[in-house]
Order: sequence, then C-alpha cells, then structure tokens
Amino acid sequence: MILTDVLGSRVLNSEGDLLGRVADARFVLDQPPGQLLAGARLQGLIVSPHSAGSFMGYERNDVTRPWPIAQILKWWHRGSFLVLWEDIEIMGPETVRLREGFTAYHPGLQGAGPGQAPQR
Amino acid sequence: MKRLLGVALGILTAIGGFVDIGDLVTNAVVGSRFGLSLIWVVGVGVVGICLFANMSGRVAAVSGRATFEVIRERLGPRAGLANLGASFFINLMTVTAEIGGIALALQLVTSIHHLLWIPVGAFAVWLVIWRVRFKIMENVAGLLGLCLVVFGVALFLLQPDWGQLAGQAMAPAVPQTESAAVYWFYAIALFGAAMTPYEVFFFSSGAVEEGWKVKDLVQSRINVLAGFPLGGLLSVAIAGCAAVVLLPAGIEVTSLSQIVLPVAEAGGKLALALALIGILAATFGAALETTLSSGYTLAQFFGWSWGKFRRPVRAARFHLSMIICLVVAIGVLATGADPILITEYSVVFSAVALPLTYLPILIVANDPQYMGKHVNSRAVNLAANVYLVIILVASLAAIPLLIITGAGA
Amino acid sequence: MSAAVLLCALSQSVIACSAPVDQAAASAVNQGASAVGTGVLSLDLLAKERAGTPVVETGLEDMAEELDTVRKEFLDNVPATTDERALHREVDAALERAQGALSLARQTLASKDTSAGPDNPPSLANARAALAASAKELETLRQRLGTGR
Repeated sequence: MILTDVLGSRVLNSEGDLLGRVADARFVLDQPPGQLLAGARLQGLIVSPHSAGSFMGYERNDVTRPWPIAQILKWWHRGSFLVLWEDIEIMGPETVRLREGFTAYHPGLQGAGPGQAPQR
Repeated sequence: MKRLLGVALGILTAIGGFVDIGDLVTNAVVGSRFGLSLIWVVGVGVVGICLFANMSGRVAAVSGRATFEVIRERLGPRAGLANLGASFFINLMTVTAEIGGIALALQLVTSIHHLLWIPVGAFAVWLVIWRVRFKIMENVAGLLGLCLVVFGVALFLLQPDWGQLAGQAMAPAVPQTESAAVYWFYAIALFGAAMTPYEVFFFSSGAVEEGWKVKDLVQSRINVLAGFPLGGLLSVAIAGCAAVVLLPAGIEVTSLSQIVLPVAEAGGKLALALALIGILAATFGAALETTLSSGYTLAQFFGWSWGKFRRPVRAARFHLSMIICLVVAIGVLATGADPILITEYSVVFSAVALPLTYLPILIVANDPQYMGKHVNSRAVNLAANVYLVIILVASLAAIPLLIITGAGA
Repeated sequence: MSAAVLLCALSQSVIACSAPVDQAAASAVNQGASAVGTGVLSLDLLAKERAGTPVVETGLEDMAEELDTVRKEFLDNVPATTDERALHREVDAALERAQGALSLARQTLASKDTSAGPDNPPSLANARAALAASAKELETLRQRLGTGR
C-alpha cells in the first residue's frame, strides 16, 4: 500500500459513523539514521471532517499569515484531529476504521517547525 | 564599479527580456483596436509581475527552492500534479507561440515562408540551451531585445497628438466600434501577457541557477523594480505606435507584419531593421526561457536533477524533456496553425492558470520555516492580497469572455 | 488539454456560424477593409523607401491569406430574404475586388523582384490605385454597416 491509497479515504469509528477523510499522514523521524534522513515512523493520520485537501502548511500553529488565507484554510479544516497508529483498527484502501475509544489529538504542530509531540 | 555594472546589466536585460511574442501581439492588437484606452491594464500587470517576481525570487534566494519545488511541497502530490498539468500545458503553448514568433520574424527579414523557419528556429533554441552558459544566454538575448526601444523612438517621430493619446489613456472608455465584452476580454489578455507564469518559473529557477543568496536580494529587487516597469513602457510604446498609425487607417492587427509598419512609417528602413532585430531577439529569448521553464517545472516537480549549471549528461531527463517539448511545438506549428492565434490563446490561458502558481508562492513567502526573517512585510501582503483578488477575477472571467466574444473577433 | 482544444474549436465555430447575414457582412467588410488598408500602407512605405521588399511582400501575403479566409467564411452564410441576398452579393463582390487588387500588388512585387524585364511589367502605381479604390469601397460599406460587434 502506498500513501496515495490512503489519502482521501473515508474514516469511520467503531460503530461505522463517518468521521471525515484522511487529509494527511504524520511521520516522526526517530529511527536510526538512513541515507539522507533518519528513518521515518508513521505516527498517525490526520482526519478532517470537511475536506481531504492539503493543509498547505497551516497545520503549524504559529503560521498565521497571510491574512485571510491562513484563516480560511484553518476554518476549512476545522474539527480535524490526529489519530495515532495504535488507534487504527483497519486501514483499507477505501476506508479507515478506528478502534473503540480512540483518542483524537489536536492536529496542530507547535511552533513554526515540525517535530513536536502532539498535545491533547 | 563592477557592482554598478552588474546592476545596470541586470536592469537592461530585464527590460529587454520583458517583451515576448505575447506582449508584442496583444499590445499591437489592442492599440490598433482600442487606442490607448486599455493601457491601464499594462500598469496593473507590471505592478503584479513585480510583486510576483519579487516574492518568488526571494523564496528562491532564501530557501534555495524554485517555484515548482515549493508547489510540490506545499500542495502535496495530487493537487500539485493537477497544477503541474495546467501550468505545463500553458507553458508548452507559449513555447509554441514563441517559436512561431521567431519564424514569423525571420520571414519578415527574408520573405521565406515561416513554416520553413520553424525547424531552424527550434533547432537554434535547442542548441543554445544545450551549449551556451546561462548568464551569456540571458544577457545577449536581453540586450538585443533592447532594440525594441525603437518602438518608443518611433512613437516620438510620428509626432502624435499627445493630448488625444493622454485622453485615451487617462479616461478609458470602450470605443464605439467595440463591445464591452470584447473590451474586457482584451483587458484580461493584456493582463495575461504582462503576467505570464513562465516569467516567474524562469525568474525563480534562474535565481537558483545563478546561485543567489540573501545578499543578492537587493540587486534582484532593483532588477525587477526598474527593469519590468521600463519593459512595460516598451509594451505601451508598441500599443501607442499601433494606435497612432493603424487605428486611424482602420487596420486591425492580425499578423506580425502589421506590427512593424508604424516603425517603418516613422523611421524608415533603419528603424525597421532595429525593430526586426528586437522582435527576433525578444521571441528567441522568450523561446529559450519558456523551453527552459518547461524543463524546470517538470524536473522540479518530479525531483529530477535540473539546471544549466550541470552538464547535460548530469541532468539528462531535464534536457530530454525540453527536446520533447520543442518537437511537440514544431509538430503543432507544422499543422499550419497560425502562430498569432496560438499567441492570443496562450496569453488568455496564462491568465486562467495564474492563481495556480501565485497562491502557493504567496503562502510560502509568508512561511517563517522557509523564509526566516525574510517573510513578506505587511505592505507586501496587503498588495499581494489585492492582486490575489484581481488574479482570481481575471482567471474566472477569462473563459466565459473567450466564448461570448468568440476570442475577441 | 483536450478541454482547451475544445474551447478553441468552440469559439472558432461561434465566430464562423452564429452571426446573421448583416452582422457577418459587417464583420467581413471590417476585416477586408483592414487587410486592404494594410496593403495600401505597405505599398506607400515601399514607394517612399521606408520599408524593404521582404516586409512588404510578407505583409501582402498575410493579408491575401486573411482575405481568402474572410471571404470563405462569409460565403458560408446563406442569405434568406431578398434584402439579405442583395447585401450578400454586394459584399462578396467587394471582397472579390479586394482579392484582385491584392493579388495584382503581389504579382507586381514579384515581377519587380525577379526583374522580369521590359515586357510591360505591371507598375506599383497601378496596383496601389486598385488597392486604394478597393479600400475606399470597403470603407464606404463599413460606414454603412458598422463593425458588426
């Protein structure tokens, strides 16, 4: 399976209710060093209830310019959340089903740079 | 002293490099049909391209990334690919128009039919791209393109009624012989001609080719802010010549041969020869830029190694894609399609596709992770937002107007 | 890509076939007058030695091609009423005379080019007079019909 198969898939909870679509995947670079970068580990998926489009970089909390584009894109992805890999029950090509009692983390990244741990 | 020379050279090449077949044709058509009543659009377009080139040049110099690398990173693979498809197609259309322009200009010099010149022109473009160093290529084409200043001289020699021209320019109105829809259609065409996307691909990729750093930003800003407006004045002079000589004679420009008639009228054979050299250099220079841009966009999107600073064997796919583009352009022109018509469509579609590249650049120019302290200032963002609205309106209105007016016929 | 090609085709067909006869006539006259006017201006520049033969030759060739297209497209219109038929005939005759004047000018230029010798080459002055007459005729028609926009 490649990432393109997953992006845009419908995301359901354990009861089968539609929660949104996969808008992005989040990786952590904490594996042993590879050729160019440290190896990447899939931390989880970003689920967006209104659009499977790109965040265009506005998933980072500190990036708020230029007005009004930043505001529009953040509004576009309002209600989106991060689910960790452990909370995913089935990852199929069409749908992603989450475990019962999964945790929805805030999707924002702290600061202008990547790599901070997600906060609740 | 050396620095001063560098700045002067940069400005001069920016002036000569501003005009291409799209500017030539659109300005002459508009001048011959609307006088100077649409010339305000050139002003709007020039400010827009200054803003856009300034942002993309800054992004390239600070982050080391050219336009399509940024688009790929920011839009993700799928939206990015759609964007690439549209931008690449319009760029290919512009390549075709420029090669056709070279052939038409050579026909004016030799009276040998332009279809025979098309393979020659395309081959020369390929040879220069393959062999000639970036800096030399850019400077020679830009400096020879300065011969187009003869359009400005011609306008003075024609001794027009300046009051009347100023009146047309200052109080624009739709002429009685034209309809409002056609007026706005040509407004969008002029805007698209002044703000062609390839100029930005080329400008930002050129910044990477020449290895710009943050310290070069001042010079790049001077080049843009002095060179493009002066290049815009050349466009106005082309429209002015057509407005003074062709409009009163009831001549509506449909071919390149008509565009040079006012220059001949004003300055005789010498002026005509300079105009032809200028047109040849402008179209050839633009053919180089657009062909390179097609290679740049593809290579940057797919992550191939690219650039003229590498030997062709080190950037094989980059060079191969450009050869294919040139062959496609020859093929299209060989069907006998009118290069002027292709040009007119290419400037309109340029306006349609403009938001696709403008928006990602605007977003990244505001991104502190890429730009550090060189993010857009408030004033630039204000202007950029105003232009975002203009660009969106022009983009959305272009195709409906194209259909309603039958391409301005 | 195909969408763009389709659009080009669509707008071209809109130009070609949507207009009623009087509008098509006005548009054809307008384009014809522009082409013939270009011919007159080119020959004047040649006579004053302000433009060289290649530019003038190319200009005349372009205009001849344009007139051919204009006339062909105009003939695609079918007049319905008697009035329309009269107008149709009048405009077509004017376009035909324009074509004649332009081809005379081109022949003159070509014979001058190859210096055909003294066997009575048509003079540029004659060609210019024919073009000017055609220009005047089309201009009068244009005044009457408007530009069709």
